[in-house]
Amino acid sequence: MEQLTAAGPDASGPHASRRAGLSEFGVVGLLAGLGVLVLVETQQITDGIGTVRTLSPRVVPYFVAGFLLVVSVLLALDIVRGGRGEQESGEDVDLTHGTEWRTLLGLAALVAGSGQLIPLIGFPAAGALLFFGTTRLLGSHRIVLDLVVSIVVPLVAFLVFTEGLGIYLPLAGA
Amino acid sequence: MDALPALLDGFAAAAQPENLLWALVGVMLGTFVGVLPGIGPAMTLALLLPLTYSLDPAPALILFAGIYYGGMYGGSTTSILLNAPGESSSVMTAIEGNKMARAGRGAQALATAAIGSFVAGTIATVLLIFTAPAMASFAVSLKAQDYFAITLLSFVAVSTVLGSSPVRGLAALALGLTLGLIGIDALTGQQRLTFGVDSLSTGIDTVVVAVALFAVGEALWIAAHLRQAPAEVMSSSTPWMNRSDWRRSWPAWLRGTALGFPFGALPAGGAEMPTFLSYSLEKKLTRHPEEFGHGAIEGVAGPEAANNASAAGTLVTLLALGIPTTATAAVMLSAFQRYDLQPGPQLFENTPDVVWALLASLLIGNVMLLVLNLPLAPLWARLLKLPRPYLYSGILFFSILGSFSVNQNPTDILVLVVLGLLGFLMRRYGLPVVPTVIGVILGPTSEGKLRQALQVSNGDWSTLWATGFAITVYVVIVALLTLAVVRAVAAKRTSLVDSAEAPEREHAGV
Repeated sequence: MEQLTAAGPDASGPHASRRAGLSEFGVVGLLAGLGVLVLVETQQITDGIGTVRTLSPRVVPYFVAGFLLVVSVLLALDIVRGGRGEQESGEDVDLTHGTEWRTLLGLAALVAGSGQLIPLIGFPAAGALLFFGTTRLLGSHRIVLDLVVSIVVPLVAFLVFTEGLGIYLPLAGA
Repeated sequence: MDALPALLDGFAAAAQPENLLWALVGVMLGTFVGVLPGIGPAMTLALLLPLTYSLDPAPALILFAGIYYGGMYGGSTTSILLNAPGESSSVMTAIEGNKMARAGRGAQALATAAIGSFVAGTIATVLLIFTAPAMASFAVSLKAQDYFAITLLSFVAVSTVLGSSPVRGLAALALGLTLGLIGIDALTGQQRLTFGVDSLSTGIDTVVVAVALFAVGEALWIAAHLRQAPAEVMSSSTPWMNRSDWRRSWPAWLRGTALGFPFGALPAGGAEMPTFLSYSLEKKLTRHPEEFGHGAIEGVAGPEAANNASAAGTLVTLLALGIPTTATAAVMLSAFQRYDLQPGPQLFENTPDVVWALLASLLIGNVMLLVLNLPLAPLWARLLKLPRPYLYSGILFFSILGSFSVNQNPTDILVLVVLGLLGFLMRRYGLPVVPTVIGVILGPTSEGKLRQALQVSNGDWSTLWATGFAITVYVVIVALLTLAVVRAVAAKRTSLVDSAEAPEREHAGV
């Protein structure tokens, strides 16, 4: 979650562009942090079997760590010189408002949580919870329709996968 | 060249009723999901990949081929009617296509896209059928260090040539390479970056990575910035073209195909470059320059043909060398690997029946698409009006379904969320997603080839530049990197000039 706080709010106002610029360094931090992490972790890898005549399992990780660090420096230079990441746009995207953190974190929590529930309450129920929760969080207000869709879609998907395609998904809790 | 009899065998296999049915299901599902706004072909493939898990290799790949072409077709409908290109390769189609739709010529735009896709797809698939085996027999002579060089070329090309900022492309690649390290090292059995978590020791599944970065990342990004007013959808009747539309379309289709296929087949492939070139070419050659920017049919016909031809071209590199150069090809490679099929020079010799059935069904799928989608286009168009809460809930739901059914492991869903948040962050800060996916999939391949080369040379690193082929590839890599630096410097200049008016944005090239 460290990345999220680093992203910072999309403030609007006179200082908006400077503050948005500062949050760009969050990406630099992420890359550099990962670089150090890979470096430290790699030192703990032992050679193992079969490396006598060929490449140790540490060489490529060291290279990747170095690459992460170099790229983080390049990115920092780019930002200092005025480079900014271009936010992805789209027909459904409105970039004039800031990020809705409540929606974002709520959705992430719903996905993570319902994933953990699948083995406990079965796929159709966990799927229905996820579907209903996300639909409401995304601003749908037609409660009856929302309920119907949230129950029908996961159930149909479950039947197609298990009965139609023979892929196992848990029906009820273990 | 015994491609023809082999292809006939392929047709015989693909034309069995059951396989035809799978092709039909694939085409319909691919179009259905591909039409949904914001879902490009790569995301369509990643989301629908789990459907093929329980099938035998041949029907699975046939289903997959249908999904692939269907997803591409669906994407062009979305670009034209909603101006929402799901992938960078359909950006060019959207420019003139959406203008045509706004001018009430949506039916003609859809028709030239559909028929152009068919023409380009068919020609390019035939070219694929004849070049891939030749490429494979050439590839047999390539050594491990040559492959290693090619993987480096793919890395550099995918991260610096495309996109608006080479340094952000490289950052995305670095993230992908890091994710690719996670797991038990294949040769030595050592755990790398697993932090003692059991389910990480097999590595992060490619499907989970692709679904997380494409689907979850996209859904989270859009959900956090959801536009309150509904998007404007252009309506359209059944696609048709008059005589003048035909006359203006067919040369553009052929030129687009000629540009798209070779670019797609290069290990530095991708459809952005040929679609862009095709658009500029048509703009230059047209007899109706005044229509460009207001809905010129050539501007839809050319790029859309280039897009489809390039997609078939990528399959040359994928099938003959085993190297994916686009996100779509990367997802496809993971589908092959799931069936223990290793694309590469040996693929045509070891499993000819599967490969030729796949190639034949690409041709069949193309015909199905044309026959089905011209009359069904108005129906597909209604999908664009799907209420957004249901659309994005559905994407998240199917992301979970797909990721869970890979290993039946709830931990995968946690990985899905973490990588989905990474995908969100990448969209916020302008890091392209494709280099990351390529890095995850091709990183381990690259290391494997490096090891093979060093094994043969007894650890002597000079073996890496011991072949003429490898040296040539390195020269190309240096040229690409130089180009990227030049572009970055040039972009800085222009952005300094622009900065008085628009300080927050910078556009570097295409």
